[in-house]
Amino acid sequence: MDYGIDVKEQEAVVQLKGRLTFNDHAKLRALIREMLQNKAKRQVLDLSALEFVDSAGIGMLLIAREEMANVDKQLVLRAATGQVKRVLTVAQLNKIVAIED
Amino acid sequence: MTAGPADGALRLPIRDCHVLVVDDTDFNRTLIGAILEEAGFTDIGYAKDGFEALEKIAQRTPDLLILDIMMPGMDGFEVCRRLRADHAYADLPVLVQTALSSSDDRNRAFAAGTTDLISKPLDRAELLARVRIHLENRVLIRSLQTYRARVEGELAMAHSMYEHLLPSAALRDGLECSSGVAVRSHTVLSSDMGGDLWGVLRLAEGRFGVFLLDMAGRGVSAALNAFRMHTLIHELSDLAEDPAAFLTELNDRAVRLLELGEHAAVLYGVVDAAAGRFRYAGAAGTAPLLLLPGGAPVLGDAAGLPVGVAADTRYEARELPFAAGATLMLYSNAVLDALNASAHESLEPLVRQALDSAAGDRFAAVTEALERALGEAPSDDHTLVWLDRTGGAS
Repeated sequence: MDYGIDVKEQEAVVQLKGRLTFNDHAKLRALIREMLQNKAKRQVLDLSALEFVDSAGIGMLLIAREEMANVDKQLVLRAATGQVKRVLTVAQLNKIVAIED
Repeated sequence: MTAGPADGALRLPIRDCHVLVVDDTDFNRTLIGAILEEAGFTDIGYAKDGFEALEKIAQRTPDLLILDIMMPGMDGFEVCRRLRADHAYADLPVLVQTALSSSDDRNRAFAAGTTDLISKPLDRAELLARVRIHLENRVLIRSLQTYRARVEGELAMAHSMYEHLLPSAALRDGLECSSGVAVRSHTVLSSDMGGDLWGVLRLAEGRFGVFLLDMAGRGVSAALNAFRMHTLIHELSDLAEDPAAFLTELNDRAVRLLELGEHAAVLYGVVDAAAGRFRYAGAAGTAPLLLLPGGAPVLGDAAGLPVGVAADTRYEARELPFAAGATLMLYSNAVLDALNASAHESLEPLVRQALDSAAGDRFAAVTEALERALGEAPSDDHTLVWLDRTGGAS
């Protein structure tokens, strides 16, 4: 998994690319640190270029959500497609995370 | 690893290593032995020719062989070749002392299996430096091998413990007698434990509960969490008749038990053959696939928040008809992940095709089709549970 961050005034948009799996734990930890450091209230994960997420990846997204909530930031999952969208739907993450098309 | 200080104080325990010095000249053996002893080596053996060297090695494998090339009878080249031909000595370091200076001769020594060369006349510092390098490598490799063997052994033990958790053949036979449903399963475990688990809970009047659990993550933590979940599930047998209540309570307990980021996809359902139905609840589970005689497969719905994420999550019960002649197929997330498409797009056509062409055993036909599609060495566990009401072996 690779990512790039674009911090705007209102929101920070993180573009995730590739596959988010068990092996990306350290990388996602680093990303969460960056998201905690920037000023934006809304931290948007743009999933449009993410091809695959496994159960451990979902776990990491939930960790990100919790870490943002702890500092009064909001995590938004945006534009998931394909397998990623299916997994988010089956796991009904919309019940606890803001999900946008 | 940094080199030790000049006095020879070493960080790796190499001074107790056994070094065998092979030389036909008494003076050379004595000289090498004296240099090594002075440097603190305590376990030095000697052989005066190739035959004696092989004999001593057979009695006790040294950690390092210091070998002369020019010896009467059997020379150093031949000793090397014989050692390398024997698998037991394939990685024994052999330090060859040679007066041969042409590159052809040196290459000949390496071709015979020499690890390293040291030129004659011997230089004390060079000899000690080379001895240390090869012994340190030996000790490091040995400790890695020991560690690796231990990890492999422990994973094998975990696999076997895991297999004991799965329903036994006797349990499944008993279940078939009381419920009329044949239960079969197919599991392919990944080498590092993926955290899949399934099982049954026997209920009254021929009913039984069946669960399929897929712990997020992999490796030891996923396996340990799967074991913990197994314990929780069996503690909840009082709620086992009611899938929604069962998952709701399982979730509340799992939330208290699991760390943030750990969760499980769970499907739990009650098979009621007498009433002809399968009542189930899903927590990010995979949709059960109902196979009907002569009809198109029907996909259920097991969507729901994973177990262990949020306290007070409510799960809803759903129902599929499960009359005589039908088959229910439950499978783990990894199956869909590997097929990389929705169940509707991937699994359903695959199963339908396998059944269309199946002459005999339908379960075997589906299993084989899945194995072909998924490959033999999965990166995550695959589980398939097959609940069959077709009666007989059709």
